[in-house]
Amino acid sequence: MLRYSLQKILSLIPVLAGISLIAFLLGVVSPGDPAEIALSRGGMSEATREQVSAMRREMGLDLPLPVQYARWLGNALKGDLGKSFSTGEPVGQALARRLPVTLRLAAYAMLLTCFFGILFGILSAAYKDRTVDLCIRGAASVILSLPGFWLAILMILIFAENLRWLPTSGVGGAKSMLMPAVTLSVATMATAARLTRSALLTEMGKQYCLAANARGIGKYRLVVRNALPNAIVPVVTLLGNYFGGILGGSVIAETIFALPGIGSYAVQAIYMRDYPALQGYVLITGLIYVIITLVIDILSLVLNPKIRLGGGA
Amino acid sequence: MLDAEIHDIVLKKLSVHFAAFSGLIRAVDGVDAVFSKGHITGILGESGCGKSVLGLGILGLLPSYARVGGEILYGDTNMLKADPRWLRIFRGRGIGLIPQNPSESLNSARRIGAHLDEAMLNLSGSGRERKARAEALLRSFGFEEPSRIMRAYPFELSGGMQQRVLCAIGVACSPQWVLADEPTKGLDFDLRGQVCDTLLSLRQHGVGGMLVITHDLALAENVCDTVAIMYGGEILETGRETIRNPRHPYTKDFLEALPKNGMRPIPGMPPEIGDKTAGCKYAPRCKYRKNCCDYEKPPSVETEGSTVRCFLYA
Repeated sequence: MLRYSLQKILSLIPVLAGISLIAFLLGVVSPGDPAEIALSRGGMSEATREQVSAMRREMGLDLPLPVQYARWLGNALKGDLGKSFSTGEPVGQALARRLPVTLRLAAYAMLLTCFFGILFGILSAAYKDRTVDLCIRGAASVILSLPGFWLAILMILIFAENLRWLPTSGVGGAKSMLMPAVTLSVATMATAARLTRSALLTEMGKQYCLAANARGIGKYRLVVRNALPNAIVPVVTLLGNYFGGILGGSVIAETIFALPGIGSYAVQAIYMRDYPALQGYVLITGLIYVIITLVIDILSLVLNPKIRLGGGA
Repeated sequence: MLDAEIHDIVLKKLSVHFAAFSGLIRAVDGVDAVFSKGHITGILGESGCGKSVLGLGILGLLPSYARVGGEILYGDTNMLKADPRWLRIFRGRGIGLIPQNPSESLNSARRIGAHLDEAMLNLSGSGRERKARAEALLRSFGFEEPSRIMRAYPFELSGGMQQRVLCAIGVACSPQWVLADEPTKGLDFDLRGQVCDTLLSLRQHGVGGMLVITHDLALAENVCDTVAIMYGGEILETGRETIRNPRHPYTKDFLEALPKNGMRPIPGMPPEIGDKTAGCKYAPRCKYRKNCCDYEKPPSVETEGSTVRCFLYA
């Protein structure tokens, strides 16, 4: 198991190198001269030719690309991601300030998805073709076909405007995270419930569940204790990918609910053509995604004793 | 609830039908039988003759879409109409299952100990008592280090060990009956011998009656007191001497098809799925066929504890 984990970690190094290269190239291939953009501060002033070439030397843009990449990567490893074109604030600092907001949002969304997604999946499978199952399946279909932003606006209307239970925007306690987290999680909750249901039903049709049933056990033991440990593996993979996806998907929720996370930072950076900020965003989300994939790989390993004990593939 | 006395298992006009696209599948078709306590009864037949479905019916584990008719009586209780709680107690304590395909019948995500513990939940006693009992049980099935086996996962055991573990699980609640479904399927010659010995040893575990569903003639001959021959969802013949002294034409032909008896294959094919023959299911392949065989169900003829459904004996 340790060897497998080490192998996984080692195999991540080229992936990380690839992500950093793409993030770096983003700054190179983007239109416009970074020196000029940095000097013009979003079109406020026009720089002279001498000023631009001096700036290019200062920023190291006159060096060959591989050297630039090595420098950039070296700085990035030290936590220096350059300065934002638009605000002049170091990108690393801005991301460090905003990342906790997004991670908190992601954690709330993840919690909701795991709990309700798996719970509804279990209920749906345990009461297959009964009223509970039909309701859950119906609700899942409806939710899957609703766009997230529409749901967000609807929720603001109901819970913030009319009922005044929840704040419309901003960062506060758990209350302020509820609507954004729900917006982010409902679709995946429905997918997770469906996947849990179908995986459970597949497992319950297998011989070992028949044999377990012949031991005179109740429904809870059959579904949760026998079928679930086998059915959960694909669900964990789905949820892991989703957690990585939140970091990209949080853009909508952060924009609608005015949360100062990295998603809204990226949106601003795109508006302002703030390439250092975008590079930093790409690098950090890539890094987080890769780490989560690693955690999920190891987690599904732990869940599957066959691999854990080296007994099989 | 389940009383302490062991009863016979009585099937009355039991039928299990499945509605499929191709038509109605009569997996079990009007079976009358008495499986007596104190006996090991073998249910012998080819693949697809309905013997496993019959077994599942007795356990009350048929899928919800199966259409079940007739009665399965255990004492005074008709199991097909029994209270689900009664059925839960009955499974495990009334009848223990030794399932087919050992490697697929154990949960690969759970340890052997968890399987055994679960099987004993219907008994009174603390977790520690169950554990002690499980270890004693494993030891009685020839495991020398029961605590190591309890911690093992199913895939860490060999096929024979898995089979013995399943036997231990099947008798964990000291059931009145044991149903062994194809216990030798897919096992090599040595293991088959072990399974025969294990099944015979189950009597020492206080098992009052046993049903062995199989297509393994050697197993039926060595282990069973009585054998019932199934064909096309019907029981054609039952008796103590069935294999040594077959009476029904199908049983005779079946035995002659064995390599040691000349390997003469039976002409024709087994009845197709959805077959609606009004008469004897074996009539189209039968050497002794009469006209009435095609139109009329042969009666069940009883002589000296054996029954045969054939006009030859009517």
